[in-house]
Amino acid sequence: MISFTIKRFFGAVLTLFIVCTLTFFLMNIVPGGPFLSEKTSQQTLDRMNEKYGLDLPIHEQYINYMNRLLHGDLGISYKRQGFTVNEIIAEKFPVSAKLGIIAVIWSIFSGVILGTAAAMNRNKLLDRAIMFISTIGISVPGFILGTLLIYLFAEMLGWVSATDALGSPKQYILPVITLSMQSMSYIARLIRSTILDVIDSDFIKTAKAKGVSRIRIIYKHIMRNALIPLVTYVGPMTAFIITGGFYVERIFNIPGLGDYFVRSVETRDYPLIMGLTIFLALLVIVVNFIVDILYRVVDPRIKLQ
Amino acid sequence: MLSINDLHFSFFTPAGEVRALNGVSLDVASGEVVGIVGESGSGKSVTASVITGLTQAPGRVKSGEVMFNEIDILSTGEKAMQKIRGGEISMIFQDPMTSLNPVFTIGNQLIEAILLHTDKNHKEARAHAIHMMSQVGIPNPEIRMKQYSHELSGGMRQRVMIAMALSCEPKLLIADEPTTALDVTVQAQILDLMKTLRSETDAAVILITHDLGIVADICDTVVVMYAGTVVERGTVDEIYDNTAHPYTRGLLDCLPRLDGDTDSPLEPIEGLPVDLLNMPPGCPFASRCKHTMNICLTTPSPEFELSESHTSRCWLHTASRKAEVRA
Repeated sequence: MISFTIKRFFGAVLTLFIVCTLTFFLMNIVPGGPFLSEKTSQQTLDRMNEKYGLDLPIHEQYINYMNRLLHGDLGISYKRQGFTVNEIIAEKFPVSAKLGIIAVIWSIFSGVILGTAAAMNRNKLLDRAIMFISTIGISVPGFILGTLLIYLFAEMLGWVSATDALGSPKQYILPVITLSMQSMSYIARLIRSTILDVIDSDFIKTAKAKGVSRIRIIYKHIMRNALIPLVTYVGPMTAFIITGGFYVERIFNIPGLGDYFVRSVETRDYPLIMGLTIFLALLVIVVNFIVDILYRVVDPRIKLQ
Repeated sequence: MLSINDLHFSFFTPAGEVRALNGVSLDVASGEVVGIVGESGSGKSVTASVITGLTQAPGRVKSGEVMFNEIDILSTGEKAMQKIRGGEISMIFQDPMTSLNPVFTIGNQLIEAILLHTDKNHKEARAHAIHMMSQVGIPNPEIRMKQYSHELSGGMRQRVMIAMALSCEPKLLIADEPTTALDVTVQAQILDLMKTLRSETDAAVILITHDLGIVADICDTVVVMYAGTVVERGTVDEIYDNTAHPYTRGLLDCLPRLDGDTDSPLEPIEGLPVDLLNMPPGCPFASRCKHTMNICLTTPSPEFELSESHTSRCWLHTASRKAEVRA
């Protein structure tokens, strides 16, 4: 366990280094610059480039950036002046994280329940209905679903506001549904098929022969086994939901990190692009680490090394 | 103690009715070890699943009666059956590799059975589980309790299954091919264990197998099944020394003998088992039998009583015609 953690830590450092380097050079290869859109004289432009160190050769810029990064300094945003990237992340990430975590929990919770209900009613009407809805849920992209939901519930029915993002608990409903629909549908299908796999296995026959009740067989003997593939999926899904938040935050006018990500690229806000990329990479690494630990918990056959 | 009377059981599949059991009758007395022998599809395991109430759709009992200690199994509800299963009737399955839940410890699974069927609290159940494990010859039971099934060998897992099956002092133990999936040395160990336990408990045992060697080794009586009917039954001695039914004869001729002429070839039973979807009107074994007569093709044979304990379902016995029972 300890050696596993140490190995994972060094792996994470290496991954982060590669992500930083790639992003840094790719970002600089892309034509344009942070101040080109501002109508200023060449002189002012030169002075601004000089101020932010953009006049230096690219490898010196890189070394400077990495040096500051090692000290935990992600730099100052070019566009949101007066704010460091650290401050922006600290301010905006909680908004995205709150929405994301609610969506992750909701998709697991509802996905598991729907999947179990479908498996227990195999080939009956309820099963077919759940599978039909989940097929749609997987196929329809979030930005279409989000737009449709806004049109239906905000525009036509007026139950929620289209502009007052996350102002009240009610305002969370549509973004959470949009954000969790695909993963919920996927989990429902995943759980259904694993339950149907497990239900015919010999150890379930053993449990029945022991006199274990049907309900207990489902929630103890089957569920625990069905969790194994679920954990595999939840790791990438969590990262997906957070990054999936890009468009959802746009559609629902949510002042989160995702929206900043898109804007930072559009405006060539170099420190912000770097900062947010590194932050997301770190997030994915942490989530994957947790998933690996969880694996060991749900499946004793797996050894961490 | 267990009495099965004229049991008919079929699977209703899209292709038609698969007649798995066609009038099976069977009696098991307290403390008796009954071997059920037959090839695949003869109805051995289906019989076991009917006794434990674990039949699965599209299978259904069509008619017949299963009485266990005055309890009518076929009309007992699921709740009551859960009390009986694992308590008074317990089972051991063929494949110990897959019969234990991979994500729970051995101890957890043993304790679960004990808690379900006794008044013991968790601590007592744990102690009892450890006791059961040492009784079936598992060394270091305390350590094994905390292990998972993948950490145990096949023989150890089957011992765990036996410990689990015996933990609530069942009156009837059904062992469905308990040694088939094990290699031969382990098979011998498990059989030895079963023989030892036999003398220590007074549970009746139904041993389902296709291995006549095992049957001779530990059974009191033998029931030979073919195509969902009991073709011959008798004590071990009667079946081996006074083989009556041609099918039983055929099964015995398939076995290699150590004491016989090593050059004499083994004799397989020609042909394939009867198609349970399209049962012939007469004796189901007629198409493979060396002694087929005209009547065999048209009318199934009644059960002929050859001695008090020995019966056979074959028209050949009309020649020597001793007595006829249960036509």
